[in-house]
Amino acid sequence: MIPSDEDLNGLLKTWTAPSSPASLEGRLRRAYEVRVRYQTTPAARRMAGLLPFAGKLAGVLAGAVVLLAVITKAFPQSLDLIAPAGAIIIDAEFLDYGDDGTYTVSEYRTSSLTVTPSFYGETILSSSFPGNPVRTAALELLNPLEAIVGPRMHRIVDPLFDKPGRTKALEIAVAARVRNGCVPSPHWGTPMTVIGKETVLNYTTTVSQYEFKDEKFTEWFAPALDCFSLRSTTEKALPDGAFQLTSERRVLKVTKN
Amino acid sequence: MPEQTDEALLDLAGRSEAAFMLLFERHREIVFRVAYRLTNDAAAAEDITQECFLGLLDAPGRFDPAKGSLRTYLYGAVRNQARKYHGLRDGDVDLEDTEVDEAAEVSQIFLQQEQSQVIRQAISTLPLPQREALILFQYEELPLEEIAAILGIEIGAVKSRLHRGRARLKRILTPYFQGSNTR
Repeated sequence: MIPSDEDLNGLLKTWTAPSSPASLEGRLRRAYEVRVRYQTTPAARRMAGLLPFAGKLAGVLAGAVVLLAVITKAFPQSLDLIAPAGAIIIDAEFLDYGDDGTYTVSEYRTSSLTVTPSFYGETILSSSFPGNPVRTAALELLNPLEAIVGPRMHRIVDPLFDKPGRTKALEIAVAARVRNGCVPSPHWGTPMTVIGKETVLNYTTTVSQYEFKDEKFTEWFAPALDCFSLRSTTEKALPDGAFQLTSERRVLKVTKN
Repeated sequence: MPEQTDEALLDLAGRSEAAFMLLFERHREIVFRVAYRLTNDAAAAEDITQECFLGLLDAPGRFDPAKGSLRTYLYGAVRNQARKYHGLRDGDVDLEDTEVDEAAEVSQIFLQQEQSQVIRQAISTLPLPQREALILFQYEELPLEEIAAILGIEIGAVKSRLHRGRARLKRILTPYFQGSNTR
């Protein structure tokens, strides 16, 4: 016999639900405390919600850095991405001098000379720090990433912030400086004094100098390399008025990629 | 604290624990009760109740008094949490006429001695959409319009779910009725 609606209703009424447990109140108060006291704003909660995503993103970025390092190590020719054919490659060393005139090499560096209307300088391709394997290993990972990302970021970001015409003005200033033999001008950073001309690695250089407080800085600018400095030294003033060499950066080799 | 509307308390809930707990006291029983009936699990019902009330802290952006009362909103929140408990995501549809071996279900049900357990087991065999409609109508005694608003369906669909759910229960419970009438 199929039960009637009344029979079914009568049966259904026999199922009663329990009351909510008293412990639920304390539990909810604690949860409220956490939610409101420690994550006071919806934005904070949204940020907290993004943490797992941020972790994944960091993981992906770390993976990308390691992958890039492996590729550049295993396939050095992939550096063509960074330093295209025709680029000027600079090998240099950085020296620290002691009071007795002896020196130690603090860094070996290979870089690409980069001169574009929006970026002027060197892009570090690799570097090593004798006696500091940790720093060497860290920069082995970071240098390729910075070399690839840095110039591209400049191309994207600089136009957003530069005043109209700045890029063009920079381009004109670089060209003018090269034309006048890399003689520093008041428009080019700290005013320097030309003290002569020297040949470094078969490049004619204009030697310029300036003093700041108790230090003297000297640069060897090469007009043929867009005024890139092939050598730079820092000297400190001694009590008797003489200067003592404290550090030096010197280019060992200039090649075309 | 003078008597305040749910909406006023909700506005204060993010800054006032007292306002939040007052809302909890007003609605805790219906939320827990429906959660329990939808999940058949007291521990799950506690979790769902907590989530529903904590969800109210985000409600100023989600709860629209023009669409219904806070009670209706909470019923909808319980229903959504229960669907998550059953492994259903938003938009998933639990088949209404899932083929089940009713005879097997019945044999399990009648192993239970307590009448209320028999009913509970019988209801738990209903597809979730039919169970939701039945619990809101039969136990919460909500009008069809409100059930339709909570479930996001037409009133006709609510009636249909109720009809099919009750018919199914009758079929399942027929042997129990016959047995109890001859006892």
